[in-house]
Amino acid sequence: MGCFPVSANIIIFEYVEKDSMMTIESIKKLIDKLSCDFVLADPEDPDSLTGLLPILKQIHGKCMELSLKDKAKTVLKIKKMINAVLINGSKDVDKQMENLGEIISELSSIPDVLETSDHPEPAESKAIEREPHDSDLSRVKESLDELSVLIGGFCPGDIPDLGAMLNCLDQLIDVSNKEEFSILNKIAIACKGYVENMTLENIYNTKPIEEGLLLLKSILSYMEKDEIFGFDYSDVLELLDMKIKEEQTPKKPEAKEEEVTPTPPAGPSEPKEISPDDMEILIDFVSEAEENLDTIEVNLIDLEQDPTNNDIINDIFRPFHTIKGVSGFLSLTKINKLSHTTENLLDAARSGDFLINDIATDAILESVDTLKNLIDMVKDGTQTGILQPDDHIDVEGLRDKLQKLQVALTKGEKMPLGEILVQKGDISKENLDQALDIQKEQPDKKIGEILVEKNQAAPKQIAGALMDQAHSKKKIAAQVKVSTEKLDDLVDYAGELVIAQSMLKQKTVDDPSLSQNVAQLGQIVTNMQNIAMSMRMIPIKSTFMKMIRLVRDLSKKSGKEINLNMVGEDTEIDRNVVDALYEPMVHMIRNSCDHGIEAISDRTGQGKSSQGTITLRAYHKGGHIIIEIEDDGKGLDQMVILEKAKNTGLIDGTEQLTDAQVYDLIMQPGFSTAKEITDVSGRGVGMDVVKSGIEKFRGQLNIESQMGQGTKFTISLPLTLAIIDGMLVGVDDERYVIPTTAIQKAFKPPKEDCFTVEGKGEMVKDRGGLIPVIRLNDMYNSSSKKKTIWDKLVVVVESKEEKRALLIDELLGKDEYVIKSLGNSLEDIKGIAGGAILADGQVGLILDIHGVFAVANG
Amino acid sequence: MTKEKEVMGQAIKNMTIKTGKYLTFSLEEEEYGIGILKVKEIIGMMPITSVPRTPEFVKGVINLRGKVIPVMDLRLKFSMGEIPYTDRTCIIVVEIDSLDSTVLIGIVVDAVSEVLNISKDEIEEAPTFGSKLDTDYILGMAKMEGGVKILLDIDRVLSAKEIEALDKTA
Repeated sequence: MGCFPVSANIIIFEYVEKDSMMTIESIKKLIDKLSCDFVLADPEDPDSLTGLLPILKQIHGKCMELSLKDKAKTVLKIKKMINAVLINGSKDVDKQMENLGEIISELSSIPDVLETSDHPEPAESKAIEREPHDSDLSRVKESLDELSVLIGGFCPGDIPDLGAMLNCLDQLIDVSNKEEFSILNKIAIACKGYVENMTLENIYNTKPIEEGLLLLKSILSYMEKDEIFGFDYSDVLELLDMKIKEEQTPKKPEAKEEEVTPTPPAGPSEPKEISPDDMEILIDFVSEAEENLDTIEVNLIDLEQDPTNNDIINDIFRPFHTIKGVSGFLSLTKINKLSHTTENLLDAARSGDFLINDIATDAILESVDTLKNLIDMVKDGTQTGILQPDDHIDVEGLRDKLQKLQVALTKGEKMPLGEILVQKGDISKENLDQALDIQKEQPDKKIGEILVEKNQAAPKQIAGALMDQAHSKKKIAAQVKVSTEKLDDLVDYAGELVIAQSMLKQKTVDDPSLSQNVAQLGQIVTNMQNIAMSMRMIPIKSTFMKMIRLVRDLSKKSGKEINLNMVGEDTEIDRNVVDALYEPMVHMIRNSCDHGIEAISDRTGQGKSSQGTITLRAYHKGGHIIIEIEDDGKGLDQMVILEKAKNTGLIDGTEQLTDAQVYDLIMQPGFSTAKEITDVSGRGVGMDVVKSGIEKFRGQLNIESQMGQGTKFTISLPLTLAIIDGMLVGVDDERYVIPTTAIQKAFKPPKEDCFTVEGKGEMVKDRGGLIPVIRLNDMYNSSSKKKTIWDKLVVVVESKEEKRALLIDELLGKDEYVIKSLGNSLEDIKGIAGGAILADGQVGLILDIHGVFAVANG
Repeated sequence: MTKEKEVMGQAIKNMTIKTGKYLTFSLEEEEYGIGILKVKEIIGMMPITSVPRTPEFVKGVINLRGKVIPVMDLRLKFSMGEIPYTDRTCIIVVEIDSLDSTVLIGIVVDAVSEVLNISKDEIEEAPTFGSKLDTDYILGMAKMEGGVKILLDIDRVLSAKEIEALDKTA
């Protein structure tokens, strides 16, 4: 249906006011017109039939004005029949048309009825025969469908459409006027009230009614499944009610939903099996919700800096709203309730009732955490196919807290922001600079606050600027989701293109013009490969943002004032490396907060600023991403570290150690097992774990420290885990890639440096030390040819402090290789990290040095 | 329990035996067939990088347009003698249903013959050679004019589990 061409009579009848006689007249006219048009209508010609619909709609509207529900129903029936004819096309058209004709002539009797009794009996509406439950449901469904079509096609000012909506809702109310439909009935009445308001006051916002419709539909779906609808719908009611109450009473934030919320079924709930239909929606919901919650965290932190910014509040509000909506549909009661309460709080803040302060932020973060837990449960459920009950996660307490908070905040500092914004005057550039200066002195003060305090600001301007700021942020955030699989494919093909291109190049050496073209192609291909690679990269910002949260929590807990600076958060990094970074970073930041930064009294005693600073820095350097975590705390005490290392037997106390070597000691396994040292030295909690975690991703960890000045951890990780810097070596007919990071040196040992040690095998001497030799061809039985060591090359490789010399035939060059899995079935072969496509298109195997050692050791 | 399993397995097999197109190929003197829907593509022989510490029938890996896929020699898998590859030797790339996804695996065969339409009536159950011999990987025998063709359930022939298991014993 939608918007029908507005014919001339509509305009005429808009002037026909509430005079019922006039209305009756107009109905008469309309019905006459209808009959005429109907007779003329040709079932083969859909246009002639659609022409009837607007007329019907008008009659409908008029009937509604006179509260002639039964007549309106007849009109609707006709409408439906016409629609059926239109949709079904030629099927039984003649018969349907005949029926239609009968009903229309029946309709013609309306005016006569009206003239005799102007007052329709109210009892009529209640005299609906008690039909079986199912047919009621289907009727409700019908009405809802029609209503949604009407709302969808609603044009502002289209009074007849509104009339039709009212009629629909009336039908709904009639049908639902029963015990088991009480919720439905309530909402339908509220919807009707809203639509009436729309008619009377020219409100064109259909949002509330849409919400109402959505709610009605979900209730219906529950009823169809014979389940109890246990969700909170008061906000929708509020929304529908709002327009009416707005003038009479100020909005009450504490108008809570408790009284209408049906108590959830008591007792532990059973694990529920997920139907395949729901599965997909659930999976979508989980991934979306997880993403949403992450953005909430980041935005909350932003909001702390700028609590007056409505855009940020909106950004926080929206995800909660989405989660609430979807979880309602999916019967995830707890998620629904919690997100709803949080949303309420934010909504109040959004409308300027109060500012979100620290306590509120904490509460919202708590809510985010709880939601995450709940969603994790759902996620587990989607994996196992069975939704476990979430009884152990309590949301009621938190909800209570949020609600109380909302009330308290509203009472406490009722500062309608909107008003301030409107009342303030203009601001000069000097004023702004002054304010900025003040902010420099008091970094925890927000600029908005200062400006407001000083009465200097035009918050409008600020708001505008903030909006621009937000917009520029949005531009970066506008992204397309692409499955990683596709990206990997793209990378694969780009790599193949490079190979194909280089093969082509070799054949075109003789033809200068052709080789020029090929060179150009080569450039394009290289660019393409770079872009394909870069697509796997994401800014490190999200990881840094999580650290803000961490520092915030930690500084609160420890009572220290800690400020977190971030530099280079837009630095891009492979998405897999991000995962690798997270754990170590959390660990080190926790260390810095707990042990690095001193207590406030200590700091002021030393003449440092009371606020400790941790700086996170990210930048690219030589194919690596460097992350620095620097604090201005007390630094590492070398003496204490040496003492401890001596006690644990890591060193014997006679060595001359460089600073770096001393600091490395704290990353030795076994160093940090004892607790007391961490309290003295301030470092060392599981640093060995951090180190091995980073090394697993072919990264390095360095420490620099200055007593009393602070400590700097530097993590260096390869930009991507998909590419490895490797040396291609030839062994017999096979070629292997050895990761460059493992290689120490390659040399041709002189005969006198080669030994065979009894029981230990072959060794080569290098710088005075003996290194065991591994014959790759022996190990991988590619050949049994026994060659003497001094005829060949050895590559000295190191892994976990162990050194071995690999015997190879030749070095074939150094390059970057894309690591490829050998496929599921060949994944776990010891000593092989994966495959790499070599320059000639063949596959070379990448050695996993640690695995090779393990194999060689037996 | 095992009996039930057997019955179930048989039932599943019966369901999988379907009238349809089969790609036939030769190994030694015999003709074999695999369901055409399992076949991704057929490529000529290309250099195979052998992978150490794998069972003998795993020839190694190849580069299939940027993807590294494992290649098995069906001759070795079926314990037939190895013969030098000719220009008739082909790699059939098949899609195997693994535990959680589908994987591509290449199988080396002596020569690819043709695509045949085989109706269900022409397919007979795999003969049982007593309980000791596992003929699970045979879908059935197709009696055609040219002789009997052995239809393989390629998922079972090359199940990832089996390769893993072999890897451990090797």
